[in-house]
Amino acid sequence: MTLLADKDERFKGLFVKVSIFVLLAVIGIALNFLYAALRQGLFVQKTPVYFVAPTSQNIHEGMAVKLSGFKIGTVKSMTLNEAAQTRVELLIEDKYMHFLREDAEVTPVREGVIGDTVLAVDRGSENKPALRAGAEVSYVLSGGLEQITQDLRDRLFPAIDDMSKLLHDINDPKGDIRQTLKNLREVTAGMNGTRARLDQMLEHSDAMVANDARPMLQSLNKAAGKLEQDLPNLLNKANSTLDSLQKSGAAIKSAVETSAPQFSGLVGESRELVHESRKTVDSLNNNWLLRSGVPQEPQGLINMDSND
Amino acid sequence: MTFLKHAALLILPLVLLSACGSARPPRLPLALEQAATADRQAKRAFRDGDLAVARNLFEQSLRLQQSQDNLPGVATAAVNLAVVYHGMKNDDMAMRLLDGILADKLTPYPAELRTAAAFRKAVIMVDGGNKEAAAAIEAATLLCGKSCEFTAGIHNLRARLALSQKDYAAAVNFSRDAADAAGGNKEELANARRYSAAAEAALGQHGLALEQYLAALELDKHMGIGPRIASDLDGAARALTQLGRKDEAASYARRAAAAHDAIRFKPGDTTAP
Repeated sequence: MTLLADKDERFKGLFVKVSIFVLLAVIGIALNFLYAALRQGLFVQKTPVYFVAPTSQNIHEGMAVKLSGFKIGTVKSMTLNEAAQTRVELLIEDKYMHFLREDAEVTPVREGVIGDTVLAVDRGSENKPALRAGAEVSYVLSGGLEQITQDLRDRLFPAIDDMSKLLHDINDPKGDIRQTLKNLREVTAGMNGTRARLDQMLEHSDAMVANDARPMLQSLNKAAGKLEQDLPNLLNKANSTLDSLQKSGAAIKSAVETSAPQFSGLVGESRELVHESRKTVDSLNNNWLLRSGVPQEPQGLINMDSND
Repeated sequence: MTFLKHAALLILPLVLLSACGSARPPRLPLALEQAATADRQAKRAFRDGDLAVARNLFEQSLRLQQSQDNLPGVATAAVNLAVVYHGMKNDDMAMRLLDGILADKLTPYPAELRTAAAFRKAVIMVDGGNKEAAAAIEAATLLCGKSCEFTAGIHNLRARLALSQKDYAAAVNFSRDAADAAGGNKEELANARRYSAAAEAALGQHGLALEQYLAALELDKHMGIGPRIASDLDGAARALTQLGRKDEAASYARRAAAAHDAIRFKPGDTTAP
């Protein structure tokens, strides 16, 4: 005879029912963990590779490694090597390893303007052997706004220097250009004198042909000779000036062309970011949890009275 | 059967939860949604005193409403824009917008919005001391009919006009009518008290004037309208002076001065009020 005999039919088999319920809950939780682990790639085979970066700035453990926008691995660990540089260990999923070549490169890039920084992998040259486990990949700094600005600065400054040198040359009284112009002026003056003498010769041609024609012709010869001597120099110098200008222009153009798409991309991304933020705020405002806390603006006319 | 009960008990909270997470309101055409957004932002800017931004946004809203030929939206945006222009002291532009609704008899703008436009026009004319203010008030009265949202406001406008014409007895009567018609409209009730107080003071009834000023002060404090609170305190100080209660008058005058200073104070001013 049991001490606490339970006569109520509803409590029959209660232990079994509760056990099943708890078991189902435990199985559910375990499945959730399993699913999360699968999603995180916990059971995926990975191959270690590494790179050496001058600094650990913008790199952190668990950081995603992406190839063509797809996550192919993560940063496993970072250590300081004997050269006081950062040795970064990566774990690349085995199924993606065949994409990577020996000369693959890793670059830290930001996803969007305020997005996370990830390591983007450039797979390397097709003709190179596949990347082996434990091998080193190259690390290339690039991408950030500072980098773009630095790049633009590096390209623009020499061009500006060239321009200022050119201007200096133009303004220098002893410089090539001023000297060339001086020579040209002298030649022109010489030509004027020659012309005057020719005119004179024509006026007195009848009487003076015999005496004057010879020196005049000699003078004309001289002037022509000088012109012949100076003109190629002048043309060469003018050509070199134009070349310098052309080079400077090309350098500026190339710098602007390289950087402009990145800047326009930045502007586009910023605009998109603002748009998305607005959408997010609107969505939050429409959410049942927050809607009650957001004061609704009354529709229709502004509330004004006879004294406003 | 027991299993069904248990299942129902489990499902019920889920159903209740999903009921809480109600769906988003149905979406309007894009232009109208943009107009509604511009309208909301404009009102916010107007409330914050940023009239230039409010003007730009109401203009945007007006254009979007016009692009959809949404007549109620067009009239609403035009009246709101007129209010902003009046606030920017550009009454010509405000009147042009309001006349655009009032003079266009063929376009079926909603009657209540036509009335709102007429009332707003009358307010602007009374504010500007326009000679045709009385005619504008009559036009608003005609559109309003026996009773409308603006009945108390129209009586108050009559009281203001009578005050400006030094017809104090009429001003007292009109403000009384306004107070009767105000109902729950506290702004107009406070205005009626203030106009009545001013008229009573002009008639030498300083005790009544003080009573009305204090009633107006209480209402204005409740609504938090700074300039009107300062005006009520000023009026009360004047009435108390006339009643020979100098100390109290000085106290009210000090409070009025503090309120005036505080209104003038703008964030970033180096001199504290």
